[in-house]
Amino acid sequence: MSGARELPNPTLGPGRRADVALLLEGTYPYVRGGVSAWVHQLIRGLPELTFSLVFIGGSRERRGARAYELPPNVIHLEEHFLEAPRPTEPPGDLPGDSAFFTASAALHDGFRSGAGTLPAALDAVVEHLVGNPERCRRDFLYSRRAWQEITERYAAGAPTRSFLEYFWTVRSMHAPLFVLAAAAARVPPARVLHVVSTGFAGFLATLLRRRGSPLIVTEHGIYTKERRIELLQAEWIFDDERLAPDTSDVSVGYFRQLWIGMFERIGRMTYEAADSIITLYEGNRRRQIADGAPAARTAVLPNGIALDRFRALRARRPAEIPPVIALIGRVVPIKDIRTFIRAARLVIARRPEVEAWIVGPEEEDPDYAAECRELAAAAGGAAERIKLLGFRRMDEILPRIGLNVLTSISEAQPLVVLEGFAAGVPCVATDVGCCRELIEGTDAADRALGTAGAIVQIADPEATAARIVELLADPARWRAAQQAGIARVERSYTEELMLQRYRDLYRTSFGKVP
Amino acid sequence: MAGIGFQLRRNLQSDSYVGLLRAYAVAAVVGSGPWLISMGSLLCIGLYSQHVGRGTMVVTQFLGTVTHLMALSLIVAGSVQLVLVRFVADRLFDKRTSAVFPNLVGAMACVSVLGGVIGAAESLAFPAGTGPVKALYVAGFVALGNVWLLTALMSGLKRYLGVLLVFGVGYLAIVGLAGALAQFGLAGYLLAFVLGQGAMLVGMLALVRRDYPSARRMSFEFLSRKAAHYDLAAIGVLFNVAVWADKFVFWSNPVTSVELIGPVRYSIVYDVPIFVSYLSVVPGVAVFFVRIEADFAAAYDRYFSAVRQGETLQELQRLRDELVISARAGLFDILRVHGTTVALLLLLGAPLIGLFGIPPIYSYLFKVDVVGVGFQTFLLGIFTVLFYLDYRRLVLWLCAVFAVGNICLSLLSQALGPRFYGFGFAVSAALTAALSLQALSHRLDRLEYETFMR
Amino acid sequence: MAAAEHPRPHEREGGGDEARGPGGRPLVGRLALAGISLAELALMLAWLATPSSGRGVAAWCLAHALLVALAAIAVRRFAAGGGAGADDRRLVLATAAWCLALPIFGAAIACIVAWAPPPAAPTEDAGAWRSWPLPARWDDPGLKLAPPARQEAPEAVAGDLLLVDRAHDGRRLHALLRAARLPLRFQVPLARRALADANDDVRLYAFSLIDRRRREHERAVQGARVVLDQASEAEAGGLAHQRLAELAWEGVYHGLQEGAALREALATALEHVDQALFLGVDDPAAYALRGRILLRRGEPEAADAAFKRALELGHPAVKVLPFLAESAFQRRRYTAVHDHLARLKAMEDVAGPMLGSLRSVMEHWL
Repeated sequence: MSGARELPNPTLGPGRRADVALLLEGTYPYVRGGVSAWVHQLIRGLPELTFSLVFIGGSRERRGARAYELPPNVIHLEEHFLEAPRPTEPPGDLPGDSAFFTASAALHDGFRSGAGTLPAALDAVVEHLVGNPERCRRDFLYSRRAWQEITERYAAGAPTRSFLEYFWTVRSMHAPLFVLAAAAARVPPARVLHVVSTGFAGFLATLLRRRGSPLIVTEHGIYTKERRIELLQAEWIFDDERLAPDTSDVSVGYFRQLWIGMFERIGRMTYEAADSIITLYEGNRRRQIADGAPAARTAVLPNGIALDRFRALRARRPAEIPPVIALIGRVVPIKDIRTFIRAARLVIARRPEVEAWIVGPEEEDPDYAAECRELAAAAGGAAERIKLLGFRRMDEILPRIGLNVLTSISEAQPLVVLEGFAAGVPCVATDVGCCRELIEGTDAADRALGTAGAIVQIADPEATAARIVELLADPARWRAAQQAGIARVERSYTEELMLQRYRDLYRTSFGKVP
Repeated sequence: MAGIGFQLRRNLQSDSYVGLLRAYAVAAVVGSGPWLISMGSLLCIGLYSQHVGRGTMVVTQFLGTVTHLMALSLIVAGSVQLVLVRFVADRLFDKRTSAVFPNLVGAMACVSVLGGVIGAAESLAFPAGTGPVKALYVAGFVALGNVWLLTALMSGLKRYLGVLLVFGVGYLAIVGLAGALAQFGLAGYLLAFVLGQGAMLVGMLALVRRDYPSARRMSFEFLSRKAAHYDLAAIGVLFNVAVWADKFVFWSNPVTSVELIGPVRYSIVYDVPIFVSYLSVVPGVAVFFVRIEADFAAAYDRYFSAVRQGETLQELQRLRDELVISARAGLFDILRVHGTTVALLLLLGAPLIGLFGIPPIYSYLFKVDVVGVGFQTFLLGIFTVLFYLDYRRLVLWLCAVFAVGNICLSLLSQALGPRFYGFGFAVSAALTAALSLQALSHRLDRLEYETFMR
Repeated sequence: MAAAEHPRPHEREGGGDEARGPGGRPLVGRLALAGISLAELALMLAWLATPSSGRGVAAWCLAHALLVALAAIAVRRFAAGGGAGADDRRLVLATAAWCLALPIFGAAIACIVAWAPPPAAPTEDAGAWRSWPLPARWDDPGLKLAPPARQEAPEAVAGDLLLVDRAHDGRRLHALLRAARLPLRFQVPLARRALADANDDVRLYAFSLIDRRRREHERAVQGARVVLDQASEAEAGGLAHQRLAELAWEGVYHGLQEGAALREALATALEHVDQALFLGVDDPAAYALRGRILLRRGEPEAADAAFKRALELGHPAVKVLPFLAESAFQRRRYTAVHDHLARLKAMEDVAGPMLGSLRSVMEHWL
C-alpha cells in the first residue's frame, strides 16, 4: 500500500483531556484534499490548543497512508471503520430489549411526523446506544423484538415490496450506526466537539454530545447533498418497480429513497444536536437551513489563506501579463478538465501565443487523466501548447500565469481562487459554489471592490474561451481585476481572520461548560 | 439421469390411484434397495450354505464378520461422508462441478487410510484367524468404507437408480462367488465378499467420474477450514455409533454373546431379531422418500426461492405455512405407515419369525425391535428436514443424545434381564424422536425469523 | 468532497480449477494396473489354496509389497500430469495406500483416478441436483435482480426539464432521473442541457450521468480496439473495423461529442468503415452506416452512392429510404424527396410500426 513507515498513533493518557476533539470522516489525516488541508491549517494555526482526532473510514484495508504529518498539538488519534465485521454465530434465544425498540420506534415516527418530537425521542435512543452499544447491536441483529419491529414497519410502509430487499436494506443502513455507537464509548472526552461534516461523523457527534461538551459543525460541502447524488446513481441499490408502480411523482425507487432518507435524518440529528453550525458561504447556509438546521445557530465563516506566502509572489511577477492560462486542481472529472482543454484549444486558435497548463496530481483517476491527455494530444497544432504538468508547487506556478481558470462542475469555496487573487492572478470560474461571491463579491461593500475576473456557465467551452480572451486582450481590465482580487482576499479571506474567528468560537464554547 | 424426486412428483401429479401406488413402489425400491439387497444376499448365502450343508460354523463366522465390518466401517465412513456430501452440494450450488470428483477421491483416500489402519490394528491384535482372513478383513474394511462413502455421495447426487444397479450386481456377484469359493472356508467367503464390494466400489466410482469429469485428480479442499463443516463429521460418527451402540453393547457382554473369530462376536439372542426387524422398514422409507425427499423438498425450494426473489412478506408466510404442513404431514405419515406395518407384523408374528429360524421365545424381542426401528426411521425423516434447514448443531446434539441414551439404556436393559432386551434401543430412539420433534416444531413456527435473523 | 466509503457489497470470490489436460500414457498405464490387479487376485487365490503357514504369510506379504511398488511405479511413470509435483506425489502415495490396504481393487481405483478425462462443455441437467441453498448475506452482490425498465416518454421528460422556475428544482431533478432510462439518443442531449441548470444538485446529477455514459462508451471502444489489435486475418480485422465504426457513430448519434470532437468522431467513423469495406466486409449494414456518416458530415452525393449500394446488397428499403429523402433534401432535390417518401408510404402496411416520427414529415410532403 505505501512505502511510508506506519507511525504510532498518539494516545491520551487516562484522565487527560484535549481541548478540541475533531471528528473526521474520510479526510484528515489519511486523505489528501481541501477539507484535510483546512483541518491541518486549523490545527497548525492554533498551537495553543490541543486536539484529539477521531478518524472514521470505510475499511481498514482502504485507509491508505498518512498524508499529513501530525502537528505536535495533536495529542490523540484513533480510527474507527464502518465496515461491519462478519456476523458471528448468533447467540441463543434472544427476546430483545423492549425499551430500546420503543425508543427507536418513537424516533422513527418523530422523523416521519415532523421536527417537534425529535429532541426527546433522540435523547432516549442515544442514551440506550451509548449506555450499552454491544447489547443494542446484538438485539438489532438477532432479537425477536427487532424482527417484530421490522415486520411491522414493513407491513405498514411497504407491504407490496420485496421483503428480502427491505430487510437487508434496513440492516445495512443501521449496521454502521452500531459501529459508531460502540466507538462513542471509547472516544476520550474533550472540552469541545468539532465535526467537519454531517453524515456518519455527525452521528457520532450526536452520540458524544450527551457527555455535555458543546458541538460545533463545520460543513465545507453539504454531505447530505453529496450522498444523495451518489445514491441516486448507485447501481447496487435494487430498483424494485415490478411489484408496485410509483404512485407519486417521485421517480426515485423505494429502496433508494430509504437510503437517501437515512442520510437526511442523520443530518438533521446532527443539526439538532449542534450548538453552532458553520459553513463557508451563504448559499450553503441557506441549504443547511432548508435541510433542517435551526437558523439561529447557523453562521458563515469562510476559509482563509496564508496571505504572506502568496503576497510575496506578486513581486516575482513579470511586467506584462503572461499569456498563460492554468487550471490548478486535481485531474478528476468533477473539475471538468475536458471543458478547459476544449476552451484552451479555442483560445489558442484565436491567440496562438497562449499556453494552457493543467497543474495537479493525476493519480486519483488515471483513466480520466489519460482521456485528458488524449484530448489534448488530438488538438492538432495547439497540442504542444496544452500541457499537463502534474503536481507543482504554487510558488512555481502562480507568478508565471496570467489567468487562473476553474471549470469545475461543483465546488464549495475553492482556495485556489483565493490563492490566485493573493498572488495577483485574476480568475475565470464557473458559477458553482461561492465562485460568484469570490469573483464578484458578497454584500454591497464587497462588490464595491470590483470584479476579480469573470463568471461563466458550466461546460461551456466557447463562453469560457471568450471571457479568457477578453481578459487577456485588455490589460487595463486585467489589472483592475487583479486589484479587485487582491483587495477582496485581503479584506475577508485571510488565514489570520479565519483562525481568529475559530479561536473566538472555541473560547465561547469553552465558556459554555464549567 | 434425472433425479428421482421429479419422477416421483410426476407420478403423484397423475391423479389416478395407480399412479400414487406406483410412486410409493418406486420410492420403496429406491429407498430401501441397498439395504434389502445387502441383507437379502447375506441371508441367501446363509440359507444356501445351510442347504448345501457345508458347515454352518463357517457361515456364521462369515455373516458375523461381515456385520462387524459393516458396523465399524459405517462409523469410520460416517466421519467423512456428510462432510463430503455437504461440500459437494455447496460446490454444485456454485456451479463448480469439476470439484466433485477430486474431492471424492480425496475422501476415499482418507477413509481408506483410516479404515486400513483401524482394520489392521484390529486384525493384528487378535491372534485368531489365518493370514488370508486377516488380510481380507482389512481389505473388506477398506472396501466397505469406500462403498458407504460412494453410496452416500451418489444418494446425495440423487443417482438412486445407479446405486440400486450397482448394489444389485455386486451382491449377486457375492452370492455367486460365495458358492464357488466356499471350499476355501471363511477366507473364501471373505474373498467373495471383497470381490463383490470391490466391484461395486469401482462401478460407482466410474459412474461418478463419468457424470462429473474433472481435470484434477485429487483434492482435499473439502477438509479445508473455509469449506468444511466439522460438526457434520461429528454427526456422521455419532449417528452411526448411536444406531449400532446397542448391538455393540450386546456383543461385548459375555453373558449375551459368544466369540466367533477374533474381534467378531455374535449374540444369538439379540442379532437376528433386530436385523430381521430392519426389513420392516421398507414401507416407512418409501413414505420418507415421497413425502420428505419429494414433497417437502419442493415446498422448501419454493419458500427459499421466494425469499431469494424478493417476494412480499405475506407471500413468504403463506409458503412457510405450506412448508410446515408438508413437513408435519410427511413425518407423521412415516409414523402412521410404520405403525400399520408393526400392527400387521404383530398379527402375523409367529409364522414369520419361524421362517427366519428364530426360536419363538424371542418373538417378543422382535416385536419390540420393530417398534424401535420405526422410531429410527422417523428420526431419519426429522434429521433430513433439519439438514435441509441447516440446523447442524441441533442434529449433533440429538445424535449425541441418541448415542448416549442407546448405550446407557441398553446396558440398563441387560441388567434388568431378558424381558427388557430391545427396550434400550426402542426407548432411546423414541426419546430422541420426541425431543427432535419438539425442537423442529419450535424452529418451524418461527421459520421466517430463523431464516432472516439467524 | 468529504464522504466516507459507503459499506459496499463484498466482491464474491470466483472459483476456478486450473485445467490440466490428460497426460501420460493412459493405455499402457491402465494395462499395467489391470495386470497388477489380476496378479493380486491370482496371488490371493494361491494363498487361499495353500495350507496356512508362517512361510506362506511371509511370501504373500513380500509378493504383495512388490506388486504395490510396481503399481506405484506404473502410476508415476505413466500418469504424468504435467502439473505441480505435489499432485503427482499425492497420487503415487494414494495408489500405494490403496493397493496396500485393498489388494485387488486398489489398482483398479488408481486406474480410474489417474487418468481423468478433461471436462466436456458443461451441460445443464436441471433436475439432477437440489442443493441446500441459504438466503444470501446482506453483502452478497449475487442477490440483486435486474427489474424490467419502465418505459419513459422523451417528450414528458424534456417538458419537465424546461420548467426553469426555481420552485421546480425538484421536478427537474426527477425528470433527469427518469431521463436515465431513456434511450441514449435522448438521454445525453437532455442531460447536457441540464448541465447549466441553476440548481447544483441537477447539475451534479446531469454531469455524472453524461460522465457515466461517456465512460461506458469509451470502455466499449477500448474493448473493440483490443479486438482489432488481436485480429490476425483480414476478415476479423474487417469486422473489428466495422464495430469501431459503429461505436464511433453511436457516440455521435447519442450526442456524446460536441464541436471539434464531433467532427473528429465522424472522421474516425468514416475511416473505420472504409477500412472495413476495404478489408472485404460485404455487409449492407456497413454501407448504410457509411451513408449515414457521410450524410451527417454534409456530403449527400457520396451518401447517396453508399445507400444505393446498401440497397443493392439487400438492406431493407424501409431503413434506407428516409435517409435517401434526407440526402435529396440536402441537395434541394425536392421532387426526389417526394418520390422517396411516397415509396416509403407505399410500404406502410409492411413497415408501419417503424415509421413513427416520420409520419408528420410524410404528411407534410405527400
